[in-house]
Amino acid sequence: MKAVLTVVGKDRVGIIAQIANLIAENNSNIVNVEQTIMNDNFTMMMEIEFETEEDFYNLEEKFRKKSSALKLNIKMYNEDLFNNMYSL
Amino acid sequence: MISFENVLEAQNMVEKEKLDIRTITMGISLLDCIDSDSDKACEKIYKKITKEAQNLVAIADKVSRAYGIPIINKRISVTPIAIIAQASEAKNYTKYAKVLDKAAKELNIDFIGGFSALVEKGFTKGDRILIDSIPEALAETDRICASINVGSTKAGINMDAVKTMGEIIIKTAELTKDNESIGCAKLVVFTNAVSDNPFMAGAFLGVEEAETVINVGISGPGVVKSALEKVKGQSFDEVSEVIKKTTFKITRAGQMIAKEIAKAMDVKLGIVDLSLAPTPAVGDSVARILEEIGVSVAGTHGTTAALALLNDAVKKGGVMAAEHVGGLSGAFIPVSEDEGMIAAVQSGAMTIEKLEAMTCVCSVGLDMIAIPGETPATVISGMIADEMAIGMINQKTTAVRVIPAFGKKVGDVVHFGGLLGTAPVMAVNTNDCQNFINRGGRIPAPIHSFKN
Repeated sequence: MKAVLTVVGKDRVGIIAQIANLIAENNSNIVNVEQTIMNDNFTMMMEIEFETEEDFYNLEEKFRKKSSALKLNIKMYNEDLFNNMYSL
Repeated sequence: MISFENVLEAQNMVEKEKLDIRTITMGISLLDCIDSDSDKACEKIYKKITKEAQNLVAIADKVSRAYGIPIINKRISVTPIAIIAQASEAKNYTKYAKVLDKAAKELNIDFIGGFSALVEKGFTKGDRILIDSIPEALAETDRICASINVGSTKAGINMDAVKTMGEIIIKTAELTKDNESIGCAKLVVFTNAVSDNPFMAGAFLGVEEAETVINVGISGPGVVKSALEKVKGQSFDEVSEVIKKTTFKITRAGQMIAKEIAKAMDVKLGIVDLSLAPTPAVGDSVARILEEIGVSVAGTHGTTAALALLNDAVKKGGVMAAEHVGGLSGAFIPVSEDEGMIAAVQSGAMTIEKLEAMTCVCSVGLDMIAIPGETPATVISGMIADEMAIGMINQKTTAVRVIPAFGKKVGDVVHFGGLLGTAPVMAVNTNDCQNFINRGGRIPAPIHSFKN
């Protein structure tokens, strides 16, 4: 399955590295990245591929728990949400 | 390829505009639980519900996590208990309500709907017992919802039932007086009730439905309001388009989540209720959408037209997005559950008479309205009769869920808590209508009901 990860927060050194490391530790693969600074905020979207549903839930839990320590708003969504909402 | 812009928009809908799935409601048929021994029937009911819905909450929570959209309530609807209980010897059906309540608590289900009877054409023995049991059943349970269908376009209006329900509402208010007469918030009187409704208090599972089914009710007034903020001053054509497009997106999200839950539970997905359901939270109000469309305060002239446009556009956008549409489908206009509506009542702009007019074009009816505790039963019956007539003639569902708040007067405020919210007690026209109500009998079905 594929998921979309969004990361929003105050820009600083190493955000992408920290996020990418957590994804790599979960043995999941980043297939697309888009990043910009929006209203002075670091804003990033990643598409991630998971081998199993369990991998998805493990990473989702990890991000949920680390979100406040990293001072970032991190959310992960099953990609089908956007495919359904934004296509006929 | 997923667009960054769309992802951020969807995320905004959830995090800032309060998009959520209001309810995942599992319908469970209890027809095979009928027994001449009421204790045995209750045992079968408990076993069946706790078996069929054992994973509902866990699965809904897991799917909610995967899609990042909150699911606010997990509910169950069952076959109208009047049908299930009437083969038994029981002379009071409170025990059936209690066993449903026990099952709800065991499963961590928010509400079970279906303490119901369908009496639009007349009463069976079980219908009468169930109706008479309502005040006690609602006073002695926490999570049970009751509904009585007293009219339909096809059958007309059972005015004996209308009279009785005025009295039952008063009794329910009295028996739950220590808790703001909350029993009445879980009791609704319908015309043209639908058997796949996922919303409370009126959910029940019709006898024509499958053994089990998953129905979904979507929310999202905040999303519609914020989309409309971008077309300030533009024509109604544009307003309608924006509502349609927004509803399409939120309906799609809801349907997909419901499908995932149904698949995980190995149950068929029934219907998507294309609803705009408010909560008392700021930013989750249908009244505020009407004000965004242009009326200075909900309740002033123009409000009914704004609601008509909103309701219609919600349906048009949602129909395209959903495989099967059902339930009540449209904008809900409860008072206590809508921050903007509460403010409109408190400002004096919104009256019961205006709400009645609005029910001609919304999806349900007079909903979650607190009225003075001393309102006579016949006046409540009169309110029900008017509302039922609107539904019967217009071939739509209408409902009355009023709370004659025991000991409260106009201007007092009743606090129900949670999604049920806060209700300012509203003034009622108390001029006598008892000669009308006491006639009894049935108001015949309208001429346009004969379509065969």
